[in-house]
Amino acid sequence: MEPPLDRIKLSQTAKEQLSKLKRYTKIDQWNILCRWAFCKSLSENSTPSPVPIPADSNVEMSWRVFGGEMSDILILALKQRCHQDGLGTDKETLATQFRLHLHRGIGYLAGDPNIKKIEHLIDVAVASQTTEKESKGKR
Amino acid sequence: MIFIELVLQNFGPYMGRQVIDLRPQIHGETRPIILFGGMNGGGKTTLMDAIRLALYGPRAQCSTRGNLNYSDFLTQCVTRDSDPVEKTRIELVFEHFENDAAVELRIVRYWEANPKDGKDTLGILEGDWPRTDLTNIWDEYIENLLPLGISNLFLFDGEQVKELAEQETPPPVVVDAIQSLLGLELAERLSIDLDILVRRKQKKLASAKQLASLEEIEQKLSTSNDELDKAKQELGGLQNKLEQAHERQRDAWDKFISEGGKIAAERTQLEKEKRSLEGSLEQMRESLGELAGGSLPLVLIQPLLNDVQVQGEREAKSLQAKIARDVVKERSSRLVEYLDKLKLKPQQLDKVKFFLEQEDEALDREIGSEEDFWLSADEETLSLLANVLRHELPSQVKLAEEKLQSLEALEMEITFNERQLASAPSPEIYEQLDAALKAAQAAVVKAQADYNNGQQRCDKLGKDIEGFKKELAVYSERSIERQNDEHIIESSKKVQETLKLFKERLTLRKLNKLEVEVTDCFRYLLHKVDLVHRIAIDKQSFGLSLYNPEGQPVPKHRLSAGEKQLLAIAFLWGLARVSGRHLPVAIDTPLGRLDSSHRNNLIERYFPSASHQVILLSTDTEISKTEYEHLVEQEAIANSYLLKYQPATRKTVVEKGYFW
Repeated sequence: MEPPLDRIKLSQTAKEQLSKLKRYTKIDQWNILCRWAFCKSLSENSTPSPVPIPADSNVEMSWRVFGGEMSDILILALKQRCHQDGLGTDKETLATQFRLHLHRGIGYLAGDPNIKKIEHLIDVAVASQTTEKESKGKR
Repeated sequence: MIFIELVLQNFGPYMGRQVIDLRPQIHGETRPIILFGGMNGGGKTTLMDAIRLALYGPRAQCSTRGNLNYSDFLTQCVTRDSDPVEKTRIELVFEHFENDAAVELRIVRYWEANPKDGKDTLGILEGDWPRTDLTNIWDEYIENLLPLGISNLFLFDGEQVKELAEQETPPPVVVDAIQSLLGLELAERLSIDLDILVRRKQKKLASAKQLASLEEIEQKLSTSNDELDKAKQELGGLQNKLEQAHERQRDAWDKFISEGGKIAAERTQLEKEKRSLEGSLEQMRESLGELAGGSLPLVLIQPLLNDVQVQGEREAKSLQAKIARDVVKERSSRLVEYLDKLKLKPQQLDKVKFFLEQEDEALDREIGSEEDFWLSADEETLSLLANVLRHELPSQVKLAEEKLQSLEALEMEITFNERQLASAPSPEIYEQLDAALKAAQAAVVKAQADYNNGQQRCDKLGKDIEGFKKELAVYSERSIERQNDEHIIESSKKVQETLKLFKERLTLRKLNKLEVEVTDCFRYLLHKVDLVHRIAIDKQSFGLSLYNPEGQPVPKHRLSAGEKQLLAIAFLWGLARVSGRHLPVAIDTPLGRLDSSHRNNLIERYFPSASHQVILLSTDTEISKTEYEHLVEQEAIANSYLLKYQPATRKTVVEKGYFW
């Protein structure tokens, strides 16, 4: 499938935030952390604010590097989200929304005071699953 | 003392070797007199000189010596024209008692004319054995037997003896002899010796430096003793301290070994555990990191993905329907064509067409509108998604949960471990133990040093005390010595006084005795019995004073020459008796100027009892045939010799017998 953008370039702020996360989690690959940030942002119901995001850092990667094995799934998720948000699924929208989600997610993770170690990051995923199950159980 | 034998060889007029037996015995019978007859110049006096020379050597007072020195005298004694190879020789054999045993000694003197070192050669033999011990001390030895001082009174010349009586006071030589014979010179000598002793002691006292006072030394000694006691006490205290320090060091060491070791072991164990736990934690985190690198983040958007799956399936189904509708439409049109050909009733045909249109509509409905499609996902992705959602995510979550749990457990373990570590003795305590041990060791070193110092001090004090004690001992010794010296000086004065008194008394006593003896002898020898009643002897000068029976003094010049000679002989006889010494008597020219009555008295009364050995040297007029026979009658003569002078050779030969 065709990715919404070929190369992803992060903002300086995002780079700094990611650097902090790298220090905390000892994950030294930018793409993995970016994957987590993207998913984190997508898991939020609100639509990211359409703020301008500069690509002013030297951290740059291709979509395939970003997505890895899950590249296509992530494209689908992005499309679905854009559709649900009623934004359309044209390539430009997708690209914009991707950048917004990615940077918002980086901000969320870096700003989360609970994330000091790798286990805390993992716990973010496991906890969301449990809450989902719980909410399912309640239903 | 008895003279046994006289040997003359080339001595004076005696040419060749001549042996004269002087033993006062004949055929085993003891007879005192040995009679020598000789004309004037026949060698009588030389014989006397020979005896003197043999006894006293250089000290002998020989008649012909005069003022000659000894060497010249010896030369003069060598017989003229004698064989120069043969030496001049005198031998005198005598017997005396030494340690209650009779000893026979032979005095041998020999020399040649002009002796090299001015001396004769002396040898003393006991039997045939040389007595070198006596040779060296001969002068002292003979002085004990027959002192030179008194020899003149025993070996005397009748003519000389007469002078003794004529003089108002006897000459000093005779005085000395008398004193020594009476034993008076002992007191004198003692007095002189005492003076010497006193002078020596005084000198010693004067030269002895002033000693430190006894109190001072004792003071020092007692102070040092006190100090030593104190130092010893201190040393005891120090020793206790040292022992305590040692004990504390042992305790500290034990504690250090036990507790420190435990701490080290515990901590090591705990820290090892901690390290291994932290290692596993790290590993766990690494695996979590790997997990994070996988599909786990998709869990976050699971609802979204579910929606994607639903939409994707719908789109896929719609796509299939679309493909099916085209195929169906084609078949439907081909069916309509076929039915047209079949010429079915229009009604029937219309019905089939309506059915087909309805079917198409249903199909179209199923396909839906184009607007509902936005994912346009391919089949591969959808199946991947389906797989992820159904299998991968749940398993990943489960894995993550498990890992998180074990991580938590691990962390709890680490916490527990850390708590244990915190509660375990800290290195600070270990350091404290170490510090305590070091402090204890330092304390031991210091205590040891203190103890050593104390020990040294004690040793030094001990040495000091030894020194003081020694000083005290020396002081005491010296002080005693000094006291002794002082005592000697003090008492010497008293002794001197006592001696003086003693000497006076002794002199008086001895002189009294002598006076009595001399009076007895004189009156015994005198034919004028009433001439003298008492003879007094001056205790200072030993001058003789005579008193008649009326107590009036009899002046000496009123005595005849013969009487004077008798008086002298009586004096000598008395002396011999008072002195108690058993010494031979030799009398030269015994009867010089005596009348027949006095001669008879002498011959009858004096000669036989003058001594146990009486050597008489007489001319033919003195002891003439009558007197000789008289003596023979008395059985008083042991041996008689005739000194035969041969005018041709001017030599004298000793022969047995007398003039008749």
